[in-house]
Amino acid sequence: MTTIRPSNSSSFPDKMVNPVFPPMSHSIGNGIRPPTFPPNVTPSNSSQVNASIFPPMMHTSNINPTQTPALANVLNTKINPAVSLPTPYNPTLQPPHLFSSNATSTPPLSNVYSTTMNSTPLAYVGNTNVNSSAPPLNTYNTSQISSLPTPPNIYSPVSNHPAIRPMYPTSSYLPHPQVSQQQSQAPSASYPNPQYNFNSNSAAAGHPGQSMPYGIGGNAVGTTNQQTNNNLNAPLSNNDMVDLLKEKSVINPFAEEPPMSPFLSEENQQMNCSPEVMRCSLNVIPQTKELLNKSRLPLGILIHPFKDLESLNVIQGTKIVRCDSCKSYINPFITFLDNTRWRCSICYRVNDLPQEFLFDPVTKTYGDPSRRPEVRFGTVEYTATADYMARPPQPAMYLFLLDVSHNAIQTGYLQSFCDILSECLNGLPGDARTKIGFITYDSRIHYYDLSDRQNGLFRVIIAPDLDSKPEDFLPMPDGLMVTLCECRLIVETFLNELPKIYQDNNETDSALGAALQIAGKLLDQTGGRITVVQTRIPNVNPGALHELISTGGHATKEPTIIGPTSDYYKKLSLDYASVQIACDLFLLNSHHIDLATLSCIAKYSGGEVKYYPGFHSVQKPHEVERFENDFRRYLQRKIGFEAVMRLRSPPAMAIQTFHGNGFVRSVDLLVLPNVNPDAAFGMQVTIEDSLAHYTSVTFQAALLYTSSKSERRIRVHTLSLPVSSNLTEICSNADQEAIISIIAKMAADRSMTSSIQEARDAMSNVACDILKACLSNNLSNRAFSLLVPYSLRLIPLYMLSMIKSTAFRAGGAPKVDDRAYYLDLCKTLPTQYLIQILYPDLYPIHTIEDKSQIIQDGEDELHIPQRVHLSYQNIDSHGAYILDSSEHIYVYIGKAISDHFVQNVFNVETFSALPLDSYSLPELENPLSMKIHNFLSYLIQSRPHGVAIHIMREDSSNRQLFTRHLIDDKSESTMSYVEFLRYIREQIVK
Amino acid sequence: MTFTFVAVAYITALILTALLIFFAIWHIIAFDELKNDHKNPIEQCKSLNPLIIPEYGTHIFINFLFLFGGEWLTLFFNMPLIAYHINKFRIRPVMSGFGVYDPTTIMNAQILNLAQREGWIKLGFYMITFFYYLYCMIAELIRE
Repeated sequence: MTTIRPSNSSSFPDKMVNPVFPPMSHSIGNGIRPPTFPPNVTPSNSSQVNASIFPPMMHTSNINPTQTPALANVLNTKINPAVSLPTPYNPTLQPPHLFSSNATSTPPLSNVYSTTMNSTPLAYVGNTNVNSSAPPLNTYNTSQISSLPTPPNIYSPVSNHPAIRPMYPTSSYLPHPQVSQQQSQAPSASYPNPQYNFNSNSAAAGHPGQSMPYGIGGNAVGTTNQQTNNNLNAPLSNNDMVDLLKEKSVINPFAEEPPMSPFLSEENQQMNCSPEVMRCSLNVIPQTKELLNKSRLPLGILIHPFKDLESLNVIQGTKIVRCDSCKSYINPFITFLDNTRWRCSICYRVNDLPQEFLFDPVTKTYGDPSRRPEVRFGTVEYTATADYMARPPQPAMYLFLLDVSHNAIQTGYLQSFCDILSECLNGLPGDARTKIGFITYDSRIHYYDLSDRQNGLFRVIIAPDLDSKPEDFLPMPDGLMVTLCECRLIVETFLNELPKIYQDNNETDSALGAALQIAGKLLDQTGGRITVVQTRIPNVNPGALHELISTGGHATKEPTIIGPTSDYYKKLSLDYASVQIACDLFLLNSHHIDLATLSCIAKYSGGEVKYYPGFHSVQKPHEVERFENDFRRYLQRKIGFEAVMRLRSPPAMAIQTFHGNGFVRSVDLLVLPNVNPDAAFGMQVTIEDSLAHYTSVTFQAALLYTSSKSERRIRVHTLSLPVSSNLTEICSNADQEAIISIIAKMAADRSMTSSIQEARDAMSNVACDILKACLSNNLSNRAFSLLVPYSLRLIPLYMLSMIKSTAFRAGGAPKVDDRAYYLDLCKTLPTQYLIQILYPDLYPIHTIEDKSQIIQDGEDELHIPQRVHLSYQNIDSHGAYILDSSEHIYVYIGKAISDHFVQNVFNVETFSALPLDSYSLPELENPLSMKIHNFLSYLIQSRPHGVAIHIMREDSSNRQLFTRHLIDDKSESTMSYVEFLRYIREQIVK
Repeated sequence: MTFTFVAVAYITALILTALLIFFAIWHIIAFDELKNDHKNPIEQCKSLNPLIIPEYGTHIFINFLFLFGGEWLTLFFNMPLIAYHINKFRIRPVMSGFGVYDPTTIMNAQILNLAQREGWIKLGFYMITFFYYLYCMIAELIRE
């Protein structure tokens, strides 16, 4: 969850992070271009790691001239397996020590070293060394040329090592002693020898450790392990077919992994940015539009551009190299024609390479452009120059708009809000210029002058006359937004006093519309972030909305219009977007609030909407906790101001539609007044021309933003995918989760423009079409089976769950607000959380001790039970279950649960002694309780947002909250999963 | 040569259709600018939306003239476009002013292409009707 940044020291090369990271051979590119630039080729990562760490050992080896070549080789074979890695690693590389050890080294030691080197018989240094038997000084020189880093440079990697280490599980190089041979091969750019020998073996050996260049947010070690295990557990590969009618359990017992395109070399996959940041619904792009239509699969890119990354390469101070024609940034998939030119991977234009680019910041040498981080990593961040600014970077500005009407005071949120804000004041991202301000409103607007530092007091100013355009009234422009570091004490006093001021407020109206206009006025010179906490529908003009009095928020029949009922908030939002203001909404309503209309204020200004229906500080402790955790995260997470994001795609492709909160400024440009790490975007892409002359296509998303430290930065994500004309290949490499995510976005649009019924119909048609398209390839067995590629096996299940989800379902008449909220989520949530909302994870926890996957994390053991299908078949009244739907976790206790379990987990004697509903799990000192606790906290930590935990007995009146998620089963108006499959089959055969 | 009501109707229609042709050209240019990244959709919608009512109104006004003049064939030609206009206005996005273009959805490639195609088809239609009205006007004037 934290972003590990490189140390921001002053000199440029130190800022190039990751000196231990090896360059990769990008010349293998997408398989398009031959290696045109031989010296680029450094075979593997770990080899580079070693190369930079080991070179002194080569020097040591040189002082061993007495050995005959033959002997060296013999020794080599014998000793090599015995080389204990700790020895090579032990050198914490004290250079004087090593050099002095050259002179005094004892034969056995030097033997070990020489073997490591000689084991590659063709290695250049080794050969020189052995054959030439030149005077030591001479050999020393040779090896110095061939060894990459000069001694002083060796140390920077080592010192930086701990910071980057998490990305490299030690295991990755430990089992491969032969990797150390690579030291002698480490190429320098000027290296003249063409018969340069590669040890492909060690190149491959370098990969496992790097297979996850970006650990999944939060718990890196655990997840990595889990994924490794996952691979082992996965019974089927992408190419296999699954018969859905026979296969009972299609979901993966552990987390679903995004499929990797098999046509990309392993190195290319690593150069692509992480699938969590950017993924495409098809991992093999169809060659023509006709083929895409034939596959019936949606083509779209899902981007989570500002996701918190474990490590990020920040490139500072150099000229940013971009293509002259398409303006894309240099990336790992370009080709270097020679040292002065490169070919763009998006538009294939040949561009000049500036001289600075040849400088390798790690080694401080010139000559080899392939070592630059820009061409090694799919995700890099640049610090931008003044060319990328329309105005000086803005300071961080935070304005809070609080509802203090009677209704709001009743919910008691103000206390939580003030407590958490004063607790997080230090954590607010920003610098010395950061400003903060507050406005509260009921039927009037209340301003707070926090600038009186002498007395440490604040003043409340109440707008006098509401009837005559309150939005024009700005009592004093200066004291309302105050510099946080200067006026911290007053702000703290204010936050202490605020809940007391309004505890007896009887004013029930809410003038949100006017407050938003005033907020816009306050920030229009600078831009910034407006945070609104609203508990009731605004009912004072401007911006008054109508309550649904007749139905009390419950639509009796399906609402025909779920779109906004007024464009007041949309227009305001567009005004905000043009002056770089974003607005985030926290809705804590217990009655209808017209979320569909209010959310427009966030939708087009790049904000987000958080929704806590029925929030009450006493009655709903779990919702309060969710709000508090969300709000804490909200205040402390990174923020980017005045941002724009552009997606560049090959000229033969075009972006059709953007999904997500932001304003589409032009065909490929999204304006995001604020960007936050939890916002995701989707783009539907069309193929306009044939891609026949492409072997791969590259998409590049560039996010230009102002950091909270007032620095202009560009974050660039690049994704390259192969092109194919084979339908089977396309289908078997589809990314089903991404497909579902794209379809959800399209369906949300459809239900806005036409109706939800139509969206549902469209979804089941899409499911039929997709399966039909991939079935038509293998007509061999048609009777009583539904053979689909493994990579599309979840489509029917997820599609059914989407049809039954709160956003789209027909029966059960969800509140209009709930529906609007979940429709919004379809468009804005990152794929993994969206899938979790559509098809929650169900884990049986009564068997956690026998049937789980165990992950070791240092001392701790984490037991992860296997996921099961959401069906009553899997629910046993003897069991206990955890259902995780991203925002809520339900713990469901069957009524015939063993007393042993209840005693160990809940510390009560029998099931009947349990409360019907409770909101926290006692922490007890026994293995079962600890395992469940560990697992629960693992679940909670696996997401950035807060979560509400609700523990319920089987006979609780709230059990419907749990049972409505059992999607595989039949309900009054909907099909069961098996019925749905049969329905699809009928449609296909028809 | 007498100016009957029908002749006056055609003369008015001729002048107004020339105006409509300008509207159509303006429409095409505006969407082309949008597509080629030159203009801000908010500005563009602000300039396009006020033209909607005059355009639709002018077209309907012409047809009222034909209705009163009893020019059934001409009216028949124009019916589809009237129906299209009414429908388009009926399903327009929620907005407080008169207008059909929403800056938040206008950049959607589908809507953009549709609007562009609409512009070209309308331009063609107005051109044809322009010459048709010219012909009808002359025919009406020399019939006496």
